[in-house]
Amino acid sequence: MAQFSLYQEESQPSPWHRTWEEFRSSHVAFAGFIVLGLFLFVSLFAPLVAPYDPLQQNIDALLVPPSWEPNGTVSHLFGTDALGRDVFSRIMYGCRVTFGSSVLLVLIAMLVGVTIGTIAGMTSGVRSSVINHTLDALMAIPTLLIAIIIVAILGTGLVNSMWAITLALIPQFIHHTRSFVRSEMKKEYILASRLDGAKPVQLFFHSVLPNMIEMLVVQGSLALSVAVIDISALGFLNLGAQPPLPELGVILADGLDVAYVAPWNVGLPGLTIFLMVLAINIVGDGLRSALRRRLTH
Amino acid sequence: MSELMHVSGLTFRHSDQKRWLKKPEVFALGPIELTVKRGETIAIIGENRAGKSLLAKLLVGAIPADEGEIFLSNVMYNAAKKKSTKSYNSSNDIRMIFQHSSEAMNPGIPVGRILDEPLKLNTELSESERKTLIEDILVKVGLLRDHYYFYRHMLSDGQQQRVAIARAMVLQPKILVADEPFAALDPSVRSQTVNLILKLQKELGLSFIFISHNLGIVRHIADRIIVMDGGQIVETGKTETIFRWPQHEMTKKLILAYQSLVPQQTLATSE
Repeated sequence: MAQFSLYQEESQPSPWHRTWEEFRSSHVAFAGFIVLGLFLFVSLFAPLVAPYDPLQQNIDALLVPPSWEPNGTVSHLFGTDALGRDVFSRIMYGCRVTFGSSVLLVLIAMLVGVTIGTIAGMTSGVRSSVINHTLDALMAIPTLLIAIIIVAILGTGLVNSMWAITLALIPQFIHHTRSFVRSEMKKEYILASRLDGAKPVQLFFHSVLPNMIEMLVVQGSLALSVAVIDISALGFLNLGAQPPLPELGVILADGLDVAYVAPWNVGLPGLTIFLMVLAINIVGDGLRSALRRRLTH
Repeated sequence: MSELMHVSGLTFRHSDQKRWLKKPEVFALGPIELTVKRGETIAIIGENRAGKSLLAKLLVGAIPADEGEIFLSNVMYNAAKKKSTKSYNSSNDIRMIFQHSSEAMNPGIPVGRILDEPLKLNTELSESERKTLIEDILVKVGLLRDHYYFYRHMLSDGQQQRVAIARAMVLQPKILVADEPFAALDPSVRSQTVNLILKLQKELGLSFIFISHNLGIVRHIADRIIVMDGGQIVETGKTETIFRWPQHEMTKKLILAYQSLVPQQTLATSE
């Protein structure tokens, strides 16, 4: 014990607290975070906050303009579409479908990709190479084409397009994880842990994973924005989600028929997709620099 | 002084086979015979590529040897057989301090968790017991309890060195192997670290094997010196004996180079 009794700080900021402080200091990132939080809230609680049923048709209010137009009404905030469905409610449910399914498929792709990549990174020789390149063939074909092939075999639908995008996202996670784990395993602190008697699983969770978070955030946010764009693109092309389902790409495609009469049917869902992708990228970027700064000052 | 560790016939052959457009690299170490007594300080000196670091890694079991036996506290380990480091190292009687302590610290986790890992893997202590033990050891190596929550980038080189020592000490080993522990430190921090190790050695009675190019420090703290050249131990003996009457060619060169740096030393011997 020490000869002197020294004042000890009552609380030390936890790693997450530190990252949060760094993240909050960037205003752009924080604004993106608020927007993303809004999307997350809407996706989670769409049935509670949406004013109308997204599928409910209203013949008395066809193509009502948004509320800021002179002849719009407050009861339909973003106006209505050609079937009298409330656009605001449809966009809320659309966020739920698009954003929710994107998050889900990115999580699945990340889990599978990181697992395979870690196994490839920790083994060596031909085995590692084979594991590393198993899904490489998928990288040769664009995501949309894979989706079209899968849809051609299994039929159209949101779930099938989700499988297609998940498959297309896995290889990049494998490659990044493998090269990261490889370079990490050569470092001296891994040797030090190994001398402590750590098994490969413990090595991964204790020594490699804490340093991998930055890479995962970068790759995860990239994959998430790709997933949002692909899901809505497939919906727009009528290959993914099918028309009655309120999906942002589908809403956009529906609105295209009346684009000249009612431009808000195209503009608002498009703006939502744009905002969503922008917010994801800004937050991903801010989170990465926050995580990096946490380890430098 | 009782015998703590005995190494016999420790051999290592660098087995880099000839590949396309690449010359086969041949490096052989040993056979090494070595005895370590309780509380003894042994310095390993020699040129670059003499196999000093390799010997240190073989001793702690970081690299499996090809042949040889190691007796550690009267238990015999077959150095050649061990595929993984686990079986041999499970005794926790021998621990290593790495050459670059900053690289030997994980940047992603705080000091407390770095020190917690060896305890978690090798002892049955509960979480609160481990924490008090870690705080004790932090204080012992001259850090504060607050450093439990610090990350690598918040510590200076000297503090990182102390953490490396704490990490080696936390399992209460009998032998400490250090690969150039003083190389990257400035003079004042270096002398602090030397004093710290001497103090810990006196308190806990551990043996200390270290590699150094700094013959001044070697002369100051070592009881015995091992001179290595080309993967062989060419000379071994008491520190003063080696410094005054070097026998082997390599030893003579090293001692001469040291004495040319310290002018008053040559004056003293010439008088």
